[in-house]
Amino acid sequence: MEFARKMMIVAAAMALTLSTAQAAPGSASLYDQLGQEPGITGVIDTFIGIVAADARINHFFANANIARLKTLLVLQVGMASGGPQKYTGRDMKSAHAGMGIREADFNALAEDLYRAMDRSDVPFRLQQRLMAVLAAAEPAIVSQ
Amino acid sequence: MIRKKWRNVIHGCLRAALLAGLTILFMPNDSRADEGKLLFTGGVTELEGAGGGGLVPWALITGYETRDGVGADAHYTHANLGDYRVNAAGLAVGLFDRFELSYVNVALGGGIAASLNGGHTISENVVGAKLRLFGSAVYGQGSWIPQVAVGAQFKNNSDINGVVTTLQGSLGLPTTSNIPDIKSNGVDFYVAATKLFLAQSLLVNTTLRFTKANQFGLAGFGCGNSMVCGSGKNKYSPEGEFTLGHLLNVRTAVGVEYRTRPDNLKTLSNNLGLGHTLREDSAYDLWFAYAPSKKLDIVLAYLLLNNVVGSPDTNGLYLSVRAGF
Repeated sequence: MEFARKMMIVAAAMALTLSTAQAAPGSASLYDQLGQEPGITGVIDTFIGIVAADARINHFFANANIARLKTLLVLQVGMASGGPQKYTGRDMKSAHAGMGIREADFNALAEDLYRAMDRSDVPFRLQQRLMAVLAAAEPAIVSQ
Repeated sequence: MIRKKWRNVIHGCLRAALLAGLTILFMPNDSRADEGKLLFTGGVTELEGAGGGGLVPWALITGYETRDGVGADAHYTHANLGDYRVNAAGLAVGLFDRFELSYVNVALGGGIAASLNGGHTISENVVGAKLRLFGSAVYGQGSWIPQVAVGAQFKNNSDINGVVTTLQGSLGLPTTSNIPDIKSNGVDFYVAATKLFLAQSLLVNTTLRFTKANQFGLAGFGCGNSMVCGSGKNKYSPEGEFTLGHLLNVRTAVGVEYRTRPDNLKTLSNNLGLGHTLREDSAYDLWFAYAPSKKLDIVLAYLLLNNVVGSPDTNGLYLSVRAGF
């Protein structure tokens, strides 16, 4: 009886956890849910502005061609979210080689992307789906 | 009484500060605090001081320092559990997202346990160490390999000898052959595996612990006289501990935990004619965590320890506040 009572508490808690954790319903891809290329372009525009103002990491972009960076980021996020884009830049490892990027820098960029998606009204569960794809690139980007 | 409790806490904090100071003194010059990890990826603070959930140590290293930094945090926990109250205060240091050192003083007040200690709280000091072995809970998104760490918790309960003596006296145990051998210190060992499923915002943790501790060590360690304790009550037993957590947004998480525990005093309780008084049950909690920043997090939980020395409903609210520095 005591055991059953405890198990009910655990089951209720797990059901609550899992029900809030369920993935996006329906068949729409992450790319569609982000609003396809226009939606992604909007997020990236906001993101670039936030990164440019972020003293932790903006020095990495001091000499970057911002227009080209935007184009590549839209292609990359489009492709990562299941869109038809083909990323044409260098691979993540060679593009970031020798830049001395630390884990903290990588995460600062991730925090800026969360912020950009918040401002673009991207729901948190979509943010997380995109982050899951991008987080796996950490070993290639951060200098070992 | 209160004075004694605070003396313990102050001594513990001084020891931990010394530990933190020495650590920072000997760390390489180019390492610095970068607060570079993402929110919650160091866990919150576990009751025994480790980075984890409220009841379960996780494989994550405490705090927000990455592989390039060293950082510390301090926490205070209060739980109001029916007849009992638990207070814990401690410090933890995370080094290079690889190694963790922690100290906490955990005090149990109220109930029969405290009255057996002359009305004073029963307190234990726990020094913990944890080493991350492999895996990345956050970045290993393309892989099923979890982050895995091993740890040890060195526990010392200076009050339990007095408690056992009082219990002996009050029951009028006649001969030494009837006296249970309950130790005042013990070491827990654990291996923890943590996986963060970012796309689902789910954290899953499983910990396997080897322990002799009774009620986390607040009721001593093992029960070593098989005449009264029964056989097999004084050895390490494997216990399972589980956490399921869900991030609601960047700053807020909810979850549930379950932890099995040894029941070393069960036969003793029967043999002393005390029925289920000394029984120990599995522990559960349902938690809510909010982190307004990397400097501060707050955990509110409903904690169920169930039977603790004479009180079958040692359940109630748990509040823990942690500050990083």
